[in-house]
Amino acid sequence: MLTELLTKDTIQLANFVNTWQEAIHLAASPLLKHNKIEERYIEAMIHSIEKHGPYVVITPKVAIPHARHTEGVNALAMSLLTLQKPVLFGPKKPVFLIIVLAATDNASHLQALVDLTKILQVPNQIDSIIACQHKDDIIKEIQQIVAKE
Amino acid sequence: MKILVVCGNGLGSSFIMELNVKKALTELGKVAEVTHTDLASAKAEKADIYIGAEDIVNQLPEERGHIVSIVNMMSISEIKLKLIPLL
Repeated sequence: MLTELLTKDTIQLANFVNTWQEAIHLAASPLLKHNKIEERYIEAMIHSIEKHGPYVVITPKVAIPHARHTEGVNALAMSLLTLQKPVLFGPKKPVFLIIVLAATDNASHLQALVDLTKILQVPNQIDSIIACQHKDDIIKEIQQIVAKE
Repeated sequence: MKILVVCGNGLGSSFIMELNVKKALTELGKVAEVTHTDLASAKAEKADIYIGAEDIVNQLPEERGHIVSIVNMMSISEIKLKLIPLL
């Protein structure tokens, strides 16, 4: 499931961004381009963090911005952005890996999140993905991790 | 025993953390009902333990039950450490 969502079309690598808001805009741009989300979903993700704090930083170096599906999701989708230089989502919350979640309902994305959990529970796996210099390498890393029992 | 995992939107981070809380309970050999929800619903739902990111659970009134704030939501060891005294 995760490997169907994170593809060449939805994975991006960048050197750096200036703000966490810019990071979310950039990370979500493939989903906007492919009409999976509407512009207002990006604003909703940003607003959610402004309101609740950087809780989307679920483990060191990783943020999973998301909002409610009613706030502009057209289809289940995910996108991934890696940064060579971290961007701060909050004090002491440097982030190198941003995975945007766009769910269509509360159940359809669960298998993809189970797969995502497999990646994020091992810090070495996160570092491996951040270290990748090409989209193909990121795809290979994800495939290998998800295939593990 | 009911444990409610709370996030800002009720999907995404709270579901991932629900998986991790269940894993932590299994490793501790404990049984509890674990579900996830958003902050607004959590304020109206009764549970023994409310668990989530610090930014989120700190917005819950203390009299609702035990409130557990987690820094690294992917860390099974942190979740276990903070739940043990409450189980």
